[in-house]
Amino acid sequence: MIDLPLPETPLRIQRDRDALAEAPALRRTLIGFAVTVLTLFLFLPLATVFIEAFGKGVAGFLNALSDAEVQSSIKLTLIVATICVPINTAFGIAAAWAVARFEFTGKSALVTFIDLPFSVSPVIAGLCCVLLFGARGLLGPQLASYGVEVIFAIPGIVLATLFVTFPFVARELIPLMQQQGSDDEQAALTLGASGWRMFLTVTLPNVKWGLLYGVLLCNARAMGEFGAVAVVSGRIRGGTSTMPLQVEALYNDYNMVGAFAVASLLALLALITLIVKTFLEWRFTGELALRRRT
Amino acid sequence: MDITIRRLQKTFGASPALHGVDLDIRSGELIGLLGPSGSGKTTLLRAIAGLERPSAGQIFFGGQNASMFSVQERRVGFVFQNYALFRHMNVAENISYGMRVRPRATRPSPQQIKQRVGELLDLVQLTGLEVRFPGQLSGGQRQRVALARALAVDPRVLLLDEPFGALDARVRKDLRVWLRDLHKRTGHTTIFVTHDQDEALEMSDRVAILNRGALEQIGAPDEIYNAPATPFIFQFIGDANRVPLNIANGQARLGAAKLGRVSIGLEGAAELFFRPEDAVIDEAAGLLSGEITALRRQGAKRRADVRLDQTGAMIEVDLPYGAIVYPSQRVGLRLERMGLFANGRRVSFLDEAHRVA
Amino acid sequence: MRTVLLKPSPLPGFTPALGAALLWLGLLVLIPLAALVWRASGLGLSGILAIAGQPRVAAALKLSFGLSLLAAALNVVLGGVVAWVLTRYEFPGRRLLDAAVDLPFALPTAVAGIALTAVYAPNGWIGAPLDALGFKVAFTPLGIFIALVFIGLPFMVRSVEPVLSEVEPEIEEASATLGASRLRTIFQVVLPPLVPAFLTGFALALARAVGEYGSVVFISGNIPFVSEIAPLLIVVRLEEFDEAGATAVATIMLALSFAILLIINLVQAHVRRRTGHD
Repeated sequence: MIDLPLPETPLRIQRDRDALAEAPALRRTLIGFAVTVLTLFLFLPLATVFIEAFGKGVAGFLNALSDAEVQSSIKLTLIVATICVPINTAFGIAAAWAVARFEFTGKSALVTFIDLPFSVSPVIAGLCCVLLFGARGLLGPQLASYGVEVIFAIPGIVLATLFVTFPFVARELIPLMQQQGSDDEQAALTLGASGWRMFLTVTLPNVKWGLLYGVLLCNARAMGEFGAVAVVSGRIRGGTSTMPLQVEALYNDYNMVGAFAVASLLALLALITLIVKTFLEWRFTGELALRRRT
Repeated sequence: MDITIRRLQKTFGASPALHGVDLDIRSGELIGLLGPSGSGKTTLLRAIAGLERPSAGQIFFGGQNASMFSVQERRVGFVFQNYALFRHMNVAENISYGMRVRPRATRPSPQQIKQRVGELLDLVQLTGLEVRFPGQLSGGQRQRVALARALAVDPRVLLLDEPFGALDARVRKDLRVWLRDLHKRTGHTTIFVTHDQDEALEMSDRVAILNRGALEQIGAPDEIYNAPATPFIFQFIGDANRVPLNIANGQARLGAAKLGRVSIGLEGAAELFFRPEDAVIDEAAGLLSGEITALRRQGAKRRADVRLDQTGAMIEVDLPYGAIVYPSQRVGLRLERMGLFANGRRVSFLDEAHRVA
Repeated sequence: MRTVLLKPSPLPGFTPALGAALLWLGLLVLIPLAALVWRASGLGLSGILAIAGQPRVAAALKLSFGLSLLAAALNVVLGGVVAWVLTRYEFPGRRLLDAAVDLPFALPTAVAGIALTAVYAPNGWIGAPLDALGFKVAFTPLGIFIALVFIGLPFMVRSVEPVLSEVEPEIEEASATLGASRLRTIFQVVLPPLVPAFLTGFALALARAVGEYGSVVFISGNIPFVSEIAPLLIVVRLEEFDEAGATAVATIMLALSFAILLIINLVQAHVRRRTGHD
């Protein structure tokens, strides 16, 4: 036996949960460190956007936004998002239904491919579009002979955006639907519901909040995508310039108020996305997949 | 190491988990803490370990006030219900952990540690499994690793929280006998928590019964079974019939039947408890009678449901082997042992002839 | 393995759902990527390696991968502490911090880029005091590093957080009853099982950082050989109509990324196997 005598006097008076929690000083240090990190990296940059946007007052801000080029970039961004979000939402639902409800050969490969756009640089995504549809691309010359322009035109922007926003909805729905299981749906079928009816009255209501969150993320990325779109758009001002590209153009013109005014709209979109996400998580903890990575 | 607990209280927020528990545990004793869920038994165990800080009261290890010492300094061996093994450490690393984390001055040498791990593995019959990881062991094996890990610090008291709770029935029975045997060999003062009365009665030197944060009775298993101190224990341990009755003018009455004399001053409603095996069908009995309403087999026993003529209460009666009875038969009843409780406290009969015949 | 293509299920809609998924996946993702592979195979291995050997390309790749690895490594510490604080402590403003962690996910990269530049420029809120001390952040590799830490932080926090909150309190209590100090409990009992989660976070942060463009190009200064990252070089090559050069850089980037991710996966599999999981 190895003997260990009890100390004569306690080393320190025990506080509540002393042994199972960090010393208060360490705890305060860690919290302070985390707050500092997040302030330096997140809060200050975010605050800058709005402060710079109003650097010349509300009038300057409104003036910057009423610029014709800016207006046209806002319109283009809305058009692109309006096309891309529904397409990728439909895909996401179809993919999630196949992956979360069936066991089939090659499923894990399918999931890997769905995630692929996350691990490919947006610039490379844009490059792929150029290689396919560019003037010396695989299909570009062919399409050009029919008068269809893709690169340096809106279709290219849409394709590049579709590529980078491809996984968002599916990524959100797959874990959620796997977690919920198919008992509800099977019950609906035994009660005589048709496939579509089951889908509309059972599946969709069960996943609606997760779906909403996925759509929001998809939309935020579709409106905010920069790298992929920069490569394919040709940055024709007032023509193929989306809001993030307009931010870059104004910034390079040293028009800080203009750049940050447009940026502030995009930042506002990000904030709304985060607020809705936080609200959904707080309100429907169980209805959003627990483990998530965007 | 004997352990003394004095007026121990623990409050979580507004709800009291323990109120005023006094308990004396003798060195080398194997004590079972038994109670329904929410009775405070795990809180008491965790307070002894130092994992919960009592709101009031003291715990003494030997003569020393343990409340002053942090959990690290108490040197208790705690086996958690889910074992809480470190899953990234192998069996040997798990068992030696408590020795390896000691301050350099008191840390055994690597050879001593290795030897001690070997001894402990031998003790818990897991020799050869040193390099397995917890994920590669069965439930029973994990339980024994957790026990060896707790024993490695040469604990002054061994604390087990529902030690067999997560195991299936067969393994559980084997481990009971084995743990009882291990206790005999190592002689550690041991306290284990259980909600299973069979487990507590079979294994413990003494059983302490907790209910709603208070200690209701402590005693040897036979004492607990034969002389329950409270109505709660009468019903919690074994089977019991509960029949309401009346006390008037110092006389306990079941309907019209006079049961016996009790002290003057106890007036009003009371309860009579007796076990099904203590009620005997006896045609010669004159005081209590009833009608058999149903017959049932429960494992080794045959049981009759009887409606008492005196109050209309339904009771259960064990039948001797080969007894010939039938439903709607009228029978006389004799009670071999019983407990009378007024205001939740046991009341004794004044006349010696309290055996009801 | 049995050669069952589809396990029977009472649920309808498998064929149309899978068909639509595969069609979209093929059109939107696989065909474009195939174009890259086609173009790269036209260059041949020697062609690609020759381009990789060009000093400017080599410098950009070294910068991108070096800084991405460093940023992911720093995020192990930063993200680890933030995840710990968010899961373990209750304090005013915790919810706000928790929500803010996702900001780099949601904020468009161009916005993040100009905002970080404004903050860390020599006349910015943080850049000015640092400049006075002699540190230049914006328009240097240090600026790129800052942007890559920014973009990687949420990956680390969100990988570690759920696993950390699932750690059973009992193993910490067990360690304490066995006499271990709090710090020893954290470093020997709580953190080791989190290694796979940290590796996942590291891999995600790294993959994102290597390909990051928008939040970097504004703060980087984009000086060839000094602060030019590989994705920017692709853009530069495309603007010069040098598609071969762009393809080669992209191919090397993808190959290196996948090689690094493969190594991380192997390490992870090893860790899991060693501890008897899966």
